[in-house]
Amino acid sequence: MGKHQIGIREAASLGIIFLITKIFLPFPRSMVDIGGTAGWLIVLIAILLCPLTWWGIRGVITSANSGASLITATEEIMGPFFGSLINFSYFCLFFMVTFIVLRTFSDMIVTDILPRTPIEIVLLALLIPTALIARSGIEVLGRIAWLTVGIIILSLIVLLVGALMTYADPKALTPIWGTGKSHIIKMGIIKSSLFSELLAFGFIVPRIRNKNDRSKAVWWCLVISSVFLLSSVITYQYVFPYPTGTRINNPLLEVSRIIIAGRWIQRVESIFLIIWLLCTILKLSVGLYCSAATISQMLHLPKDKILIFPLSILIYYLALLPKNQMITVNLDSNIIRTYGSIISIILPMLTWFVGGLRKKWGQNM
Amino acid sequence: MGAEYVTKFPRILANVLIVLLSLPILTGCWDRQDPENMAFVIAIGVDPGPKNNYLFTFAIAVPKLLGAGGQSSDAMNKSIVVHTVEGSNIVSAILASQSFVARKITLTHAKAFVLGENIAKKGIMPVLSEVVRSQEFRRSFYVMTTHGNAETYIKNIKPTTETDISLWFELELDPKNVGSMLPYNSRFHNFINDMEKPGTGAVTIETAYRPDISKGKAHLSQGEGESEERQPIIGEQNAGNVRRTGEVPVEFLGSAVYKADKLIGFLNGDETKIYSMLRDEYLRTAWDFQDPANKELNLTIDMKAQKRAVMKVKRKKNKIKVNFSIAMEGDLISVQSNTDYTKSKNRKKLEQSIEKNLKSDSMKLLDKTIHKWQVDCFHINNQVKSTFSTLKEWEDYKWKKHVKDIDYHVDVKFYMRGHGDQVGPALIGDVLKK
Repeated sequence: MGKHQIGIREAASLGIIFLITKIFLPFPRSMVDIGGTAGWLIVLIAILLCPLTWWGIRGVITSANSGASLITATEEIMGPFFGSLINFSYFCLFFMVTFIVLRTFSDMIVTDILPRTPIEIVLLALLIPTALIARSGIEVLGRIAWLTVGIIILSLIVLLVGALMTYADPKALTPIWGTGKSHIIKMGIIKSSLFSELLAFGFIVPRIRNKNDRSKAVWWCLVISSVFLLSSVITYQYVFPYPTGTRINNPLLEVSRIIIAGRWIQRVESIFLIIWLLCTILKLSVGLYCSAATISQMLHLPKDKILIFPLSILIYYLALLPKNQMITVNLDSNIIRTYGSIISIILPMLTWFVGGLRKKWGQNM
Repeated sequence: MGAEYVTKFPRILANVLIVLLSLPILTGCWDRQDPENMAFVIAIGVDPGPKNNYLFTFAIAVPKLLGAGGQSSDAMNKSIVVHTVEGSNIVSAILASQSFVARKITLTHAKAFVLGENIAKKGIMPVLSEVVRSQEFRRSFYVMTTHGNAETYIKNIKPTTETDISLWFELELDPKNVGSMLPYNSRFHNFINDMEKPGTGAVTIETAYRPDISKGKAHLSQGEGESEERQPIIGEQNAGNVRRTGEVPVEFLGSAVYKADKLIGFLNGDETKIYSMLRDEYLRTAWDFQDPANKELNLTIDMKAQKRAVMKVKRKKNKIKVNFSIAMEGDLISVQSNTDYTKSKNRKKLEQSIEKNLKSDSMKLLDKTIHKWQVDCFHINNQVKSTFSTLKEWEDYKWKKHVKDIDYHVDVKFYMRGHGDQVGPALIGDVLKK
């Protein structure tokens, strides 16, 4: 039986959902916290740098044998020892993203929506469908992503436009350089790790049926995700101008709560919450699938499926470890979104470079 | 077929098991909320307490009982029940309230946050910092400042035309009904955003309780020091002194201005209209002016903005120059003198008179807020900060210190568009000239 295959639309949808789900979490606030009125500029710089991740992944995959994934290609190029080290760092990234997103989203639900429900129950309620979807494989994941991406994007457009129609501070983005020009540029480079999730394309791309569509899927994903990441931060800054914007716990939830269009259209956040829930479960599923796929390919296991449930249990316990919400938020901001680009940009680039050198030496010999 | 069933069986069993395990998790029993077990707070009032704490007054909506025809009319007519609790914060006051309110008190449907004059003058940030933190409060409720105590005010909310208290608040504060006699952006989100910015004057709705109306002793005599000949202008009144009788003993008119977190003063109805006009928030509202042909009489214009108000700010070194360009238009909907304002000469005279009025009232308001109170209610700071390139430069500039030195200028244009359904004044037959 051949491996599951997906099309360009499914691949792009998977990437979009995996990348943009962070906007429902404290991501917009952390940008304003770092950049002040120039929080959006940090995202813009990160957007300009994000193709580096894709070029690195593409370089690694094309340097190895045909049909190789990022993991198998890395091992092929770097050898079993260094290859496994690099692959393990990819696993750590996917795994951390998954349990941190699970905990952060659960915290959001417990803080604002279901304050009396124990967090353990919320974690389980999210993790069970996540594990089921991840276990079904990339084809099912891709189909669900393609079916839901439209409604997710539509809900985002309605949310952002609705919020701006309710309240917008016209000069919210000034002073233009916020916390300082050099600081913004530096943080923009560091926060290129906002696109670390692009590493998932290391698994998705080899599964795209038509080889010619591979780059197309990634570029569609990059463009759409960039537009929504940037517009969500800009909208947040307009609705909650600096310094208020540095203090909002759940930024987009609060944005949705202020939407009022006359006496009849208000309290609309419940509609958005259902869609965010869907989006988060899909993100968690992609993260869990990539974690399982990384480990199974590292260990040369025949199937990814068998690792899904053990990893889910591990994710559940790791998600329970942070003592409070701010620890989880800081883990994401200070570790994944600070050092993530080392894993998502530098390691693939390095592997690609080594692959190139090995090819060159191979030809010379 | 049989073999296929056997291989699929564990998968089906696993799926059924997962669904069964998920069911108890998905019931959501922990956060079950039955509306019939909840007490919805519609208005919250805050006054200073006796021991460095606060007096919180809660107006709880009385649920409409179906088929309660046999009950006393007094109980049926009540739309809210009010109680006051002393406490250091809202949560502890709610907890204390639960000792005598059987239903679970919730703030999720709160419509109004009423600040008593005394607490407003003392400083309200400690209370607001709890409001922004609470998951129950929505940033969409109205903030209002009452003359006197919030407790007395809330106890006297007695709507006569509405049984639904929530709808009563919505209708009372609906911009389509009140126009720009109340500040347009007076929800909590606007209020806290302005308060958190340096030097910005946050504004709330002004409201008041009328004991004379409540006791049936209101009289319609003129105010002190007012001319007997001149017709009073409605917009020159504030909440609490509207010339009227009636039943509802509370009224909303004008706005309350805050400097940092302390109340600094009130703006009457006309000042609130000017404030809205300068902030480009003016809504179609009837506006009384002195009739240029007869100073003792008023005429009324149904006024709206012709173009968006433009505020241009220039910063030269430390000096700020602000120029407001306003273009208004309106229909003459009431005139009592015999002057025919449809005639070009008269129309021009009227337009010039209104322009002069609007300009002088604008300058008076700017003098009052910027020079006298030293608050920036017009978001001038927004444009000034855009002249800086970093937040540090802007913060070092210390905007608050520069507010009093702002130099401002107002250009107002007014165009009379229509004159209602009649061309020329209504005249007694004997007066009619050929």
